[in-house]
Amino acid sequence: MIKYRFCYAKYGEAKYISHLDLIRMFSRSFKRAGIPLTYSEGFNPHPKMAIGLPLSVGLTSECEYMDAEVERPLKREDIDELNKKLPIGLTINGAAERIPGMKKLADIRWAEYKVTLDQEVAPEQIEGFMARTDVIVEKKTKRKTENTDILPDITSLTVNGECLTMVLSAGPSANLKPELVLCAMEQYIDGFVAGDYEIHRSKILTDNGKALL
Amino acid sequence: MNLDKILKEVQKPARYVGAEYNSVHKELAEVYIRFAFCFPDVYEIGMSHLGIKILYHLLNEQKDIYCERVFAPWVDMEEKMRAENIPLFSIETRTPVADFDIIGFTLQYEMSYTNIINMLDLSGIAPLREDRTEDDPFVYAGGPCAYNPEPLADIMDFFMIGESEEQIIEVMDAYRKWKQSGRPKRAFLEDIVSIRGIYVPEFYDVSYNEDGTIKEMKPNHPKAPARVQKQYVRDMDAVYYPDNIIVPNMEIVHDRITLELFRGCIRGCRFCQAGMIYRPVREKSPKRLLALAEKLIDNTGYEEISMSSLSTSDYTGLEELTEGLLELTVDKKINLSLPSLRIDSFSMDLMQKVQKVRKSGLTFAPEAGSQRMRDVINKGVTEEDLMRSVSLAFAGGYSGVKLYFMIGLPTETKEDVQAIAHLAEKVVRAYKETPKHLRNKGLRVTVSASSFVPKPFTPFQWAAQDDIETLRDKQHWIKDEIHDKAIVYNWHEAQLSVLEGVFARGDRRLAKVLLRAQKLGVRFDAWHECFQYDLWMETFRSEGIDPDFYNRRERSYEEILPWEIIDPGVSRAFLERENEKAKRGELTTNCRDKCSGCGVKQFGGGGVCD
Ligand code: SF4
Repeated sequence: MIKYRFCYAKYGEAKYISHLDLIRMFSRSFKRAGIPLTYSEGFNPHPKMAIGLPLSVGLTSECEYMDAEVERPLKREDIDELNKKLPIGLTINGAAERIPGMKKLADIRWAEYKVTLDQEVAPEQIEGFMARTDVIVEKKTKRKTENTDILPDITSLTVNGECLTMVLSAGPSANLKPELVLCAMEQYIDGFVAGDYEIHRSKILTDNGKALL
Repeated sequence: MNLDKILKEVQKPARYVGAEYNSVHKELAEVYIRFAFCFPDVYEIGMSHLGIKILYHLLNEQKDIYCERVFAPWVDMEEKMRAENIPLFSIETRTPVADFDIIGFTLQYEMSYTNIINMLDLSGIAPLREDRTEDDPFVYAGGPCAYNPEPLADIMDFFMIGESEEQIIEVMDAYRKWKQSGRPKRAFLEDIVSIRGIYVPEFYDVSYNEDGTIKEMKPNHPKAPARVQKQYVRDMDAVYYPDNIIVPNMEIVHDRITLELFRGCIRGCRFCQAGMIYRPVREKSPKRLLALAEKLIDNTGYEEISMSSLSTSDYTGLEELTEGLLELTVDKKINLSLPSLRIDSFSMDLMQKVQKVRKSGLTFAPEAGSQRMRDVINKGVTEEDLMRSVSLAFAGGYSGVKLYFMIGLPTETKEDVQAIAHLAEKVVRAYKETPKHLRNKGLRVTVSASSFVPKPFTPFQWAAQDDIETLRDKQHWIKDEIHDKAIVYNWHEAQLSVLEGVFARGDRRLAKVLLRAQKLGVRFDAWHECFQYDLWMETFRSEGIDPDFYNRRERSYEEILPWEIIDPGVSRAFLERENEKAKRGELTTNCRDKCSGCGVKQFGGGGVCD
């Protein structure tokens, strides 16, 4: 059994595959590619696989991470074969054996998103937004709605014409969704309407400020 | 169209985008015939259905045909599509359905008919045939419910009756020629009406007696046959079966490889339409099935294979097949599932082999609680059979047992209904009598009682269906007799069964009911949260149609039945004979022990008849 980390991109129609369905989809793709995954014991064995940071349905990404345990060493050709056996819109673009000392999926701290809007936003407006003392939004959890300040979780927010770049808290301890930032911008930036937008995850970073692979 | 925007706002957007592994993508410039395969329910139901898998890949093997899939959008999606003026589209290329050459619907259950009307409406295609023009695509239907095509006779241009693997290619060949010729649409229907299994409703006139029954159904076109004979496959090993089925990107209802072991059923249960219309039994060889299984495993990566047929344990090669499948699957962590096992031929051996991979609950279908009732329906199963089977199962470590029953069967008494509860209690007792060291903890006996719906081409096709009150009373009779806490009792909404009964044995006059119901917003009837019984009743009233005429009436042997325009191979004489035997509680032997002369042999035979 060898522990591997995979980096993959999710785009096109595949952006509609939900997080839960993704694990099943990968395990079937590995089977099609003839890569034997390691299974848990018991009556209902499942492959030992984990995805770093869930990506909301409808978002694309070039940097998703998945850890999986495989029964034999992988070669370049295995990854090529796997790419042939994935559904349209998913591509593995990196794989490496996990060695001791490597960051864990639980060490994820930030994610960077590129948001393409249907309108331009002035940099001053964004600066004004970031200069606020707080950004209070209604956050809905399963049971209740509460007011939270999301400003501490916005590490940076910049704009270039129609394209916003956000670096937000992500991972097990704090996780801010880019959609919520857009909501807050509607609330606090005069005349800003989110409209039609596309969100793309461009980076996932760990506590040392680096990517996972 | 800006689909992405609305896809962000609906539940399960993966239902509408396709792009799954093994889905087919073609260069449109190289395609001559565009075929929309429409399933009148949501994606996860439609994709679970075997027929769509077969026909999709079969048609797409033809270079110049592109078959794409269309499903009924769920209510949230429909609302958005209507608001944004987005017509119904195919999931492969997002092409509006109205731009296809041929639109084929599959009829799996009657309660999907309003979805068909709604899908046509969403496509901008007039649901009534007479309102369509030369520019509209051809709209047709096939599948099991097409054995009574009449409720949709005014909707469809034609029907394919029977198993369409061979027939559909003939129709496509005719279409290719017709399209090149530039002749009017009617000419195409004239071309295909002589293909076996093709029913063109406009080539038949129906007249009625004063009491509303049918006086005569006769062809008004010289080429139309007096009765349309079903088409069926003779050689199951030679018939096309896909080895590269689509693997959906979202969870569907039957998310696994399905191996079809055989078609038909040797048993002849008198309530079962599938057991009559799919005669004769024709098997695939274990060799062919194992070869298919191997390819399907490699091409899909699925973690489960199910053996599917009407009565799987009647497959003559079961041992060879399961041995072979276990060899193929155990190392790869693939589960085998064995649905619809018959309890009288249940084998402990087989159960234990399958158990090596996974232990799941077991399902039995005694169908009726009392022996008298089981004899009436020709379910040749005794209480001892069931007890022996469940005891074996409990001793083998199974603790979950599901029992399927029907209520509302012809001649049923209160004692017959209560016997369902008593049988379940006996199953509990069998568990308690199983030595403690053998059985597993956590006994759970699930009893499901569905309401019987008389179906065309069965010995009970003349029977009156119980009304809602009677069915509800019967449901309570069972409930009141169940005392053990290990028994979980489920029943089905009687209103739905009653409505299903109307359309199952309906005639052409029901089309207007369907049209109005759709206008009033009736759809997804098979979904509990969408079913609107009161709206249906309002529809019947305003169209001046009495649903009782269709389901509450016992028909006489003299009556011409709407579906008799179709010839399924099973003769009327046989069905009458079986109905009389049912009344006397006499059993009929299965096809393998002794042929009971159902008429299929004369019709063309094959399989078990030879
Ligand atoms: S003809 Fe005889 S053997 Fe053939 S299906 Fe009918 S009853 Fe069975």
